[in-house]
Amino acid sequence: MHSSRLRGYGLYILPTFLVLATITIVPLFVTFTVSLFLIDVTSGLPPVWQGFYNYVSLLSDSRFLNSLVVTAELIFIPVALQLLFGLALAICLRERLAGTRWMRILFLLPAVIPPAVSGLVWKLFVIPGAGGLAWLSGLLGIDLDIDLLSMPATALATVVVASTWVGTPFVALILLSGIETIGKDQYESATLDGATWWQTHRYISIPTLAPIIRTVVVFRILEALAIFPIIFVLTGGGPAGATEPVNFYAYVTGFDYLQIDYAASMIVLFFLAMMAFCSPFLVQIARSAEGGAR
Amino acid sequence: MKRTIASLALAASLLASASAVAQDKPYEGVTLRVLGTQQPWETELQKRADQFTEATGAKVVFDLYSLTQGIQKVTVELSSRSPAYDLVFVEASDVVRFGGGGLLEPLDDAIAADPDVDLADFLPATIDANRIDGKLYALPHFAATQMLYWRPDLFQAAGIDGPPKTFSEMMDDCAKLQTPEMKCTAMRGKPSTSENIWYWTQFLLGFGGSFVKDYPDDLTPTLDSPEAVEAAKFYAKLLTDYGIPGSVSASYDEVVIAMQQGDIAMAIEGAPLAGRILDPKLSKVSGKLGFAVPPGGPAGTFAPFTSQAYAVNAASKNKQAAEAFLIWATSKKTMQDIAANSSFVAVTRNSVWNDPAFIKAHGYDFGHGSFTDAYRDTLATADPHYRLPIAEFRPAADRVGAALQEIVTGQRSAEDALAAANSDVERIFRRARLLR
Repeated sequence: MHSSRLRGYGLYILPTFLVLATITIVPLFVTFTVSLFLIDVTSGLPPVWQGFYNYVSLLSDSRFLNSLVVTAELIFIPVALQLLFGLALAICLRERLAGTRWMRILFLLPAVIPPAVSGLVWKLFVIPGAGGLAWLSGLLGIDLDIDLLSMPATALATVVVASTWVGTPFVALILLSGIETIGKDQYESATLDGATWWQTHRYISIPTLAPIIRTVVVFRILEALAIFPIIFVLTGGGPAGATEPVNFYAYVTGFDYLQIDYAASMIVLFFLAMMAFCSPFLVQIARSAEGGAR
Repeated sequence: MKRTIASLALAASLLASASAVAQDKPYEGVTLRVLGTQQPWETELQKRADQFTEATGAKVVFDLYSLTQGIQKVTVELSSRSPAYDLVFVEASDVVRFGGGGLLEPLDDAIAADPDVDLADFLPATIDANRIDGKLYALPHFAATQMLYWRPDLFQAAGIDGPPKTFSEMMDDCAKLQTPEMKCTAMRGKPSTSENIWYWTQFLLGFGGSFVKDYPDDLTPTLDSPEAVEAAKFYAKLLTDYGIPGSVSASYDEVVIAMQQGDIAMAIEGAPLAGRILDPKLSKVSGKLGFAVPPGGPAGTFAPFTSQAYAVNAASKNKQAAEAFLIWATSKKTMQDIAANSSFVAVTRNSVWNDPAFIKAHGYDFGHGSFTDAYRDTLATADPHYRLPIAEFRPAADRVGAALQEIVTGQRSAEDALAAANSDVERIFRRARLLR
């Protein structure tokens, strides 16, 4: 992009730029500022400058360090599963088996249900002894009477499953639209050359989809923590922090414990970490989009 | 239509000013807004609010939420200094963070002006818990504690004379009471200030430990002390060897159900829950229970204690009317009426505890300790600072609650888990400038 072009179009971009700046950059800046002061909202005392005290404090906060681990688990495991199931679903839907047309609508359902409702659905599903899961396991002759949400490992697993359930349809639909751009003739000629079903997908579908997969993964990663309402309803971050990612800990710190400055420092640190991780991919995506536009 | 409404409004305001002149209803035209929790007390109070309106003219509107949500909303309203609510719900541990910061209106003047309040009639701990630097910030209606529920029939069959008075007796009794079919006890195991910490603190204090070195002079946390470790080990042994399955994550609900179903021989649990445990429709053990003060340790008996109360928002525009309502709501007459005619038992006034109508309604006695006596005696031992009255108590106690769970599940030894929790609590206190 050349600066002369920027100058020419600058005026047109300005309103969008201003709106985006107000809703993204300004809050970030305010959050950062808040994190540098000791603020006690109940006492009415003026904020006290404390520099990077909160950030240093965070590094020895075992609950925060645990929430980082949980965050990583809640991002990478569900996204990997979403990709796996999404790809499988997309390929199945492409095969146009009987009934796949109305299945498309059904598959979309989890993606359009509000997350808080999804959380509630899963909570009801895993109620020990009375939920859908207990009923299903009863059909198989297993007497499942344990409370999955009460033990750290199973609670985390439940959140991962719910999160996968919510995210998979989106991945499947994007990948499906990608697959559908691949000409039928490609598959046909491959089949004529003796390629198996597996080989056609391994050597045609997946390589063609690679850039789409990359984009989808980045977006899912950025959005993985939008499962906040699910966690809120399902586990409340418990038991003992087993399902408490950084943003949930920040919420509890800010609104339950009223340590607003401390919560702000978590958010800032987390934002920086996410940007550091995702920006190379985002830049790459932006570059290829720009290249495509030319 | 618009005109009709306007003229109606005009008529109403004329009426209002007319009666204000008459002075028989001092708060005519005032609408008080109450922000609170959806609990039995509030439900009953709501039904009776008309009486207050009739006497003073002030209307009362209630916005009630679940306990956690209610506390959170009160926090946001008060700290933003919003005048939207005149009266707010506070637990004793919250009074310190709001009252100290000037967000609540001190009630001393209003109380002094009204001889009917009779502060001496309140259980002393409930008043002390709401007082900071000599100023009273809330009038308590609810005294929360835990007492010992026990099954005399099972104790007798096991050859035990009476309820345990000490922790070691409790452990010994459990060894005798437990059978392959029946666990000895149930307790809260879910990690949180309001669950396992609410239960465990009595062990901590009973074994001679404490959260900090010397409240309020030295707040250095002492959760890694030998006493704290001993208390944690005792709790873990009681829970794993003698607790119901699923104790690790049990909240008070599981304990109440285990008691109701006759699955256990004894439990230390909230006295206000007696209504549920004794309900013959829900409970298999109704009529089979004894009641006693919970056991203590070498350092004494420390039954859990907190109070729930309402306070006047310092930003309220109707402070006088709000004070009048609060005094009316916690008056002898109102409290007596509610306690004698509902399932609410956790009252804060001695006169109600001794009221014949109240004893008749709630004085469960099946020959092994009367409920009201045990409850009253338990409250008499109450330490107003069972929960440390500092704003950082909740994050600190939540952290210790997580450590207790690690100990119970065997993830870490008591020494390691508490040492880690102690250093986190120290960091939390240091951050809040409670430590140098």
